[in-house]
Amino acid sequence: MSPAKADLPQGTLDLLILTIVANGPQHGYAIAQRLQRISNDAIQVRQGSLYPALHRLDNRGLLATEWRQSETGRDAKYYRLTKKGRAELERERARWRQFTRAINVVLRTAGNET
Amino acid sequence: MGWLQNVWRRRSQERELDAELQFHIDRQIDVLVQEGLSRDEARRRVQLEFGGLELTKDECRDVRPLRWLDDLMRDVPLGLRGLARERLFAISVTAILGVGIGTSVTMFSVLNAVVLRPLPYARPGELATINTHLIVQNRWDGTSMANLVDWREQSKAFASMTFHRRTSVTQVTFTGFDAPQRAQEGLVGPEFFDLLGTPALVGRTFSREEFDRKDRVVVLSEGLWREQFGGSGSVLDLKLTVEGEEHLIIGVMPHAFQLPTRETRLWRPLSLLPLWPGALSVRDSDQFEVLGRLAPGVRFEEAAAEMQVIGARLRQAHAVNANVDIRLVPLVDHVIGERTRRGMWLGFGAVVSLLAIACANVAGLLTARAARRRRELAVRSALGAGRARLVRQLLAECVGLWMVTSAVGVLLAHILIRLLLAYGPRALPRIDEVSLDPLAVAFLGGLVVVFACGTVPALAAAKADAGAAFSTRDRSSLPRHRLQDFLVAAQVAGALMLVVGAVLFAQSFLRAQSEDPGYPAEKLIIVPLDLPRQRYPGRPEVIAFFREARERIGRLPGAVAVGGITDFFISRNADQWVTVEGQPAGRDAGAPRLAVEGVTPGYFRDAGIDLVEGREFEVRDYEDGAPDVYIVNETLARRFWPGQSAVGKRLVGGERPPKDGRWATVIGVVRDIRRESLDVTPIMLGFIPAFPRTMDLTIRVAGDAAPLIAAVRSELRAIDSAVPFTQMFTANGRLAERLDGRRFETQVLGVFAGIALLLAGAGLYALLAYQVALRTREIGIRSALGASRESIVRLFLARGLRLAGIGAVLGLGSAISAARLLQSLLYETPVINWRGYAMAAAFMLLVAALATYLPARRAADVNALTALRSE
Repeated sequence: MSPAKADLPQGTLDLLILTIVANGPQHGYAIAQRLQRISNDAIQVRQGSLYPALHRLDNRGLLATEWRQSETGRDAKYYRLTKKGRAELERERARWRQFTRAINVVLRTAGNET
Repeated sequence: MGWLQNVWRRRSQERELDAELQFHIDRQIDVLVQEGLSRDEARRRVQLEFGGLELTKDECRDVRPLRWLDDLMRDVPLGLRGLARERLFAISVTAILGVGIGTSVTMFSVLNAVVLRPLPYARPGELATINTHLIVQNRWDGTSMANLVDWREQSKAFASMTFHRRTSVTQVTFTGFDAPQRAQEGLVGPEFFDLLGTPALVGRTFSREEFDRKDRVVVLSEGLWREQFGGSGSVLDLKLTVEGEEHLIIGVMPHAFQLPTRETRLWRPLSLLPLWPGALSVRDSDQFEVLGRLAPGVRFEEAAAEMQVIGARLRQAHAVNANVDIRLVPLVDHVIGERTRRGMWLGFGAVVSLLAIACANVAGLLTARAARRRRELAVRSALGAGRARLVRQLLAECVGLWMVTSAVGVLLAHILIRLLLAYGPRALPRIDEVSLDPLAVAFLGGLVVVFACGTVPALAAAKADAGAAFSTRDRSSLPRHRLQDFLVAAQVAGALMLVVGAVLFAQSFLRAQSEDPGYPAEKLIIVPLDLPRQRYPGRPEVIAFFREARERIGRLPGAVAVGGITDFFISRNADQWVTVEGQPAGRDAGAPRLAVEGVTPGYFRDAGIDLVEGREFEVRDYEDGAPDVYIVNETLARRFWPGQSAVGKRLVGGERPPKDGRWATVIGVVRDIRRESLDVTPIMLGFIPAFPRTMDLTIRVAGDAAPLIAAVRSELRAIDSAVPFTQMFTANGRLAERLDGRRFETQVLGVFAGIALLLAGAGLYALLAYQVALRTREIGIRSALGASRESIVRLFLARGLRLAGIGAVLGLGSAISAARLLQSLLYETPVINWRGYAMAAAFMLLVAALATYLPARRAADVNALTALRSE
């Protein structure tokens, strides 16, 4: 794994998935593509590891699934955000902002001191 | 259903998962192909990027709720396959637990059928026998109708009471299809069937009107009905000849209805008894037994207290009651009996110990195996199997193991129960009702769960340091085996307890069996005869029959002598009062009772019973007007005339000295004979000269008795085919039969103890063999450094024997403290006797020494070079 590509911190994959799905129902392949595209390939997710995360979110009731025709005409499993999922997304987003802000503060001030 | 749904749901989930991932992969391949890659190259790249399809699937399954259940269902066949690979291990575990479970289920089924299952009567907890108790003699007695009437009037604790004739005097002759037969009958009161509340299988029971009218009606037992009438429903129009009179068959009682006794084959109204209703007024009688049903809500103790009060009142009101108390016994105790109950619980305790030993043994095997597999597990763990996954796999193997062993166990139990029904001791009440019990299987299920819960942590613990398994160093270091040591010591302790029990029972049984019956049991044929009153109204006819029988049978080759006695093998109590000249008389004075038998002239010589002093009865003693004479047994002579000659002493039947001064004179004393059973001490017996109409012919033979039986039968038929004799047996066979219960207990315990010994030995062996294997390297170093073979053998021998020794000490301690419970079950065998314990300990140590020596010798054979090279 090349050092240029960041490992995902624990739990952030869920946040990313929820964010992507918030724009509208997507199937797994599309979610993976978007994830890679949006992050400009900076985030490397082993594609396989996306699915356990999707299934876990589904089991927690944050996502709902549905089989329907995809753009290629073949049936695919679509994930969509549930009400509960939207609430979770808001919470996670707020937490993430708070967290990054705090990290930034630390980096700035501690960096200036040295 | 839930299970099916689960399976179906899992299938569809799997299909969905496949489709979803395949969609992803196909799309990615398409994209790459569009970018110009060949399809194969695209597939390869995708697979690389995707990162292992199966792994992903597994991770997806992991997040499913109830994942573990699904897995278990998938892993169980896997586990079974794994076990099939380790055949020896699987077979050992299956055999050990199969035997443990099979014997437990069998024993529990027996316990349940014989002891635990409620009696088959309506609200059986309310039923009790109410009987007279002779205070001075401290013994049970029947009661009189007059007393019963008072009990009924004065008691409030009982909703109802009923009565039947003393069962010891209710043998009747009935004429079935072919020949007349003897049978136990119930002569019962009008409320008898209603009080017990068991409906008739066919027809009905008799009414109070029929009872009062003395109608000749009879109710059959299911057994008699099937045997004599082929279980036909039209039996109700038929008649059965009982005691020479025709009786209308009105009903059939189901097999489970076994009162007053298990042997009861027909019931008639007690009013048919010739002495009825005159019996009502006589208070000085002991001809009836009473059953009562407690009023709703009344406790047994309350009823017992009330009957005590009534008993005291009746003692004051009637002089004949002065020595009489009232005793209540719950019907269930009366039917099953304390002896049987204790025996059954003991057997159950033994089998539970055996199962515990088997479990400990298997736990040892599992632990050792888990340790052996640490490498395998470590490899799997390194390859990415989650910790939960590994535990689950081990659990699945356990479940697989349990399924197989339970199946084997239940099958074994099924076979054992069949065998028991075919060959088990018939003396046990309700033994014929034993069946593979759902309750027993449930009980077994409980044990399985408990033990499975016990083994899984053990496995998990063994797994915990899986990481360390990679380092080869842990093989040569000395792992502590506290758990395994403990398991083995516990097995030795448990096995020793069982062996002690088995040895005690064997001692007791052999003791009983070696009692001298006082007659040549192996050379006596007994033929119970009941000459019908109609054809043999008086003594001359009986004498004529006896003479002819004696002559005809005496001519048979091998027959030596023929005699007649009222009852050779009795089930009867000593029920005759006797008054001895110059000694206190009457029941209130504490006079004992004895059994009196009529015998034919020269009987004791004919039967091979030794005369201790005096003379035998001669023909002149039988003549009318001859002086009354007695021959007594040693027990009676000792009781009344200790240290003196009994001959010439005088006594008389009854509770008072004779008014006319006609005492009977003792003319001889014979040896005590054990006729009821070898383990029953002889009671006082008096013999009088008589040709009884109901008589046991005793035929002494020179050689083997059995072959003569058929010939005797045809000779008797030739004399009079109307005489009922259904059974004929050798005294030897009967005595052996009477010890059936003890033999059975001894065999069962012996088998249990034997299995336990084997298991404990195998456990010890397995542990040491395992340790030898683990320490191969160390042994190699030792021998390279010059340790002698002997010192290595000693090393392991000491280790094994120390374990066995600890177990043996524990086992002996427990055995001694538990032995008290056995005392009442043993025949003249002290529960603490050094010989028995020494024998048991010797057995145990022998097995332990063997189990230890074999692996120790193997250790000594370790070749230093190969051992060191093996790493």
